[in-house]
Amino acid sequence: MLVGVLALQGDYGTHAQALRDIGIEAVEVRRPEDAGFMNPKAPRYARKEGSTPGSSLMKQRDHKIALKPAPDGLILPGGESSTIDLLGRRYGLDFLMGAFAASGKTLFGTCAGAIWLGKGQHHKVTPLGLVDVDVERNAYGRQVDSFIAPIEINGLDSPFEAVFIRAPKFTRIGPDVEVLAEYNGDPVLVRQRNIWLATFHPERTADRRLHQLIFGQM
Amino acid sequence: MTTQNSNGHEKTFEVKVGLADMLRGGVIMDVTNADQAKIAEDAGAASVMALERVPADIRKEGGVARMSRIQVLEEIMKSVEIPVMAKVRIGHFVEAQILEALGVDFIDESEVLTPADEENHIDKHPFKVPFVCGCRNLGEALRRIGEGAAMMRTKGEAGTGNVVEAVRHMRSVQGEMRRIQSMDRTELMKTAKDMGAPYDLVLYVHEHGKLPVPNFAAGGVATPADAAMMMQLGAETVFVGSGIFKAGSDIKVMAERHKVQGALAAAIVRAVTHFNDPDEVLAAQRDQAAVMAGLDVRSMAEEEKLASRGW
Repeated sequence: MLVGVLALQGDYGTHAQALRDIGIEAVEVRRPEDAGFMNPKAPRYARKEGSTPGSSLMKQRDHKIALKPAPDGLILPGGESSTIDLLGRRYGLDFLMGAFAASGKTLFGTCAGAIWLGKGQHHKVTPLGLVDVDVERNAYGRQVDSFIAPIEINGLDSPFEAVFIRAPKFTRIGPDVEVLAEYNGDPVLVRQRNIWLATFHPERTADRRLHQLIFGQM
Repeated sequence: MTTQNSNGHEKTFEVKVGLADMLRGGVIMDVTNADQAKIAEDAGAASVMALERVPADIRKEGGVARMSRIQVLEEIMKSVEIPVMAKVRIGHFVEAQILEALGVDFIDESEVLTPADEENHIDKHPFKVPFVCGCRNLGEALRRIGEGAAMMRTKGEAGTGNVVEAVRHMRSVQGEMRRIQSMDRTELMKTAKDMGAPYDLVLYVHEHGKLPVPNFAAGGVATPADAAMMMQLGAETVFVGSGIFKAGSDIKVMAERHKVQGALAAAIVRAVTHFNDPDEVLAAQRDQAAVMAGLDVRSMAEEEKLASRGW
């Protein structure tokens, strides 16, 4: 079993470690090719100054990009959602997410990752809209309002310590979306078929049960 | 991240280190106004460091460098959605209380400003807001973490555009960690004594081979190549201080200047994201249209060096 972790920016290293802890091989994904996906729509250097399509640099480059094996699942870690959105689109990873979601393979977005996969209106982030939930960024306030709290998760038999860091909130849940955990009446873990979203950071503690629940049964 | 602090602030500490970890791989840029903050955010910065003057100007103009004016901080906080950091003087715990009350996301207890206490650094445990501090070596890093810092950065030599000191400090921290990791456990207490570092943190480094908090690079990073080099040396991301907004400062038309600075900022982000990929760093380096003039650290008098502030 191989699970990719989007490694543009944020807490990807800790997620990769969480996967390894439960015996799953982790691979860092910085471009579509890292997840076995050739991006047909956005050849990366096509519109960049100094390396027009067909230039020797581009040919040389395209020849060099190796397609790696496609992972069985993918994690989008927490980080800065505006940075992840900007860099993700710059490198064509938005197409990878769409293809992955359609393939039925498991996707798990936490915090910034959930913001990117969901819907909603943001000043600096254009969500991919792959999950029918509206997400509000920094809904609890700034860093001084970050906190840790135990939550009950459907499918786990005892409470789970959830770490909320500049966390978002789900403000609307679509009809096909299942709520699996709440905190103070707000949904914090949801699932739409193969895509799971959490507003908290399950990788921050030593408890690996949520990673196990999501990826252990694939 | 289960480091034990004697003061019993473990849970708060985890939340603080949590935000520090969210910034990994994302560039943190010094900005002095809302326009610059927006340029940084649009270029892909993960955070901005708000300050009144960039280190290169502090160095040139002299005088006492203090915490930023509150109005400037408020404007910057309003203008971007990414986390906003701000600097306080070493030991100035009231500047820190003010910034916490204001709601900044991270405080840099920084040698770039004029120290307010030449003996003591701030006791950072009681604060809810996380702190980042500078270090030149492992002992200094562990002392700051012992005081509650949730993120470390190399001091480098800020405002010089010269990466040599940041390299020296990063190599020193990494080298000392490797040395401690390979030690016999019996030798750790003497090492802690010699380094002037808390024993439990020396033990942590021995067992894990890394710091209990992220370690970023700062102080003299001016080009995409500098940034990628610091990443390859083991930095978990980089701060860029004067490097971006001192570049192209001779361009008179503001829109033109901002364009050049935005391109440089984006190029540094690109080099950090793909630091291990020479083709990407090459492309990033090509995107760079301007670079700040640098200072030779060797020709500087010892008292001109900012890195020697704090211990």
